[in-house]
Amino acid sequence: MAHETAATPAAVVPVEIRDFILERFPLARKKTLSDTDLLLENGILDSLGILDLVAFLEQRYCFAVSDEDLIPDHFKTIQQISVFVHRKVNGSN
Amino acid sequence: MAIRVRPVRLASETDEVLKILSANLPALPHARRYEWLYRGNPDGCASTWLAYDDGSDEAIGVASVFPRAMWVGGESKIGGQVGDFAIAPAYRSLGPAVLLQKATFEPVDQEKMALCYDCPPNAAAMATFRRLRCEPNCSIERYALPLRVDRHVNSRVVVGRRPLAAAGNAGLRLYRALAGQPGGLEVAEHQGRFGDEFTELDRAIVTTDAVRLQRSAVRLNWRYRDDPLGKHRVLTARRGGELAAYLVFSEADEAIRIEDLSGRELAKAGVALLQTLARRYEKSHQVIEAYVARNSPLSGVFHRARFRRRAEAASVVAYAKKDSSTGKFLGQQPAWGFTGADVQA
Repeated sequence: MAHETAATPAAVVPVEIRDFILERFPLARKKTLSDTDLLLENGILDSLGILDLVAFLEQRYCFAVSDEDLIPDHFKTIQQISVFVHRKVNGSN
Repeated sequence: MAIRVRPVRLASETDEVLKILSANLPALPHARRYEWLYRGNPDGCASTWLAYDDGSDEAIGVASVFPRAMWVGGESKIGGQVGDFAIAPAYRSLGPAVLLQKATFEPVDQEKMALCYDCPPNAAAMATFRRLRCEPNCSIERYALPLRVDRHVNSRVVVGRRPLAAAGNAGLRLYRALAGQPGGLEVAEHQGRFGDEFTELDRAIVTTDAVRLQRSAVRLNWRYRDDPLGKHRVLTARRGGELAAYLVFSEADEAIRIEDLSGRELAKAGVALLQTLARRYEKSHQVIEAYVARNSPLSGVFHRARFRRRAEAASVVAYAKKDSSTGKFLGQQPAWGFTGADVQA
């Protein structure tokens, strides 16, 4: 099924990302997960988690994540992941 | 932000390497093992890389390749084992790990090594290889031979522990005895350093269908006699005085850990060594454990000595240039003659 990538409203992206993280990573469910919680430093996401998250982002929003994209700045928080997704979808990164 | 990876000059940058290792792999006594592991290895000094966040002078990751003399399809080659791979928690976004892992391929790409291999212990550690589309070449499995049931009985039973444990221990002895006893071999503890007979034995048992580390006396002395972190003991099996096989092990609180088992006619000599080990420790330890590659001929020896496979403990992921003789050989999915000692960096 094709996704409405470019048309996905900005406000929906962080919600979808949070839902994915909450569903996949048990540590994220231990407390309320805000858009600014540090995902890497708090151990919510590890290397394997990033791999799963990247696969989700690529499939859901139809863009490719390069090795150079896999820097902490893009994955620190849900907010930063959302910014990264918007940049990729809009072709500005 | 950009991540930069650069090679390390071991002679002058020890402190920086130790700092990042100690911060991110705190369970290991890095200072005590550094000279031995990084610079004392008879197969060559380690190649080490540090990763930096470009906006900072602070290292955020480290990885090394430790040279290993290997037998690859019957030919002597220099390979390398990837180890001491660590990334600071805030940088575990996969990208820095991928860059460091690619750096560990450099000695192979530059043809300084025929191959390098890593032994990721779990799915999280495999993530980098999945990103790089590298598949495991084999898996390392944990084998165990229970010696006593006391620990299990004490943790599960309240009344009548002693007779129950005695009956269980007798049952285990009977179970081990069913393996039979190979004759004509003298098994004894080997004291002192490894001599030339070990090198000769290693050369005599080279096969053209497997990948494994070389076990020269020089390497064995470095690995087991000069190890600053632990004491290793050795049993030899001889036929008419000639070395047939040997077994290296270490003692922990409740377990005996087999680190290596090598030699000829292992169906007999290997089993004799394993049985001797079991008899020696059946009163003092709960279990003997060993790590063996899944498709190694050694797994049959452990089965014959009544060991049983317990779990997958690690994968071996090798990298070689695809068009090289080593790359072509690895493509044929050879047996990996790896034991616990080959997995530990």
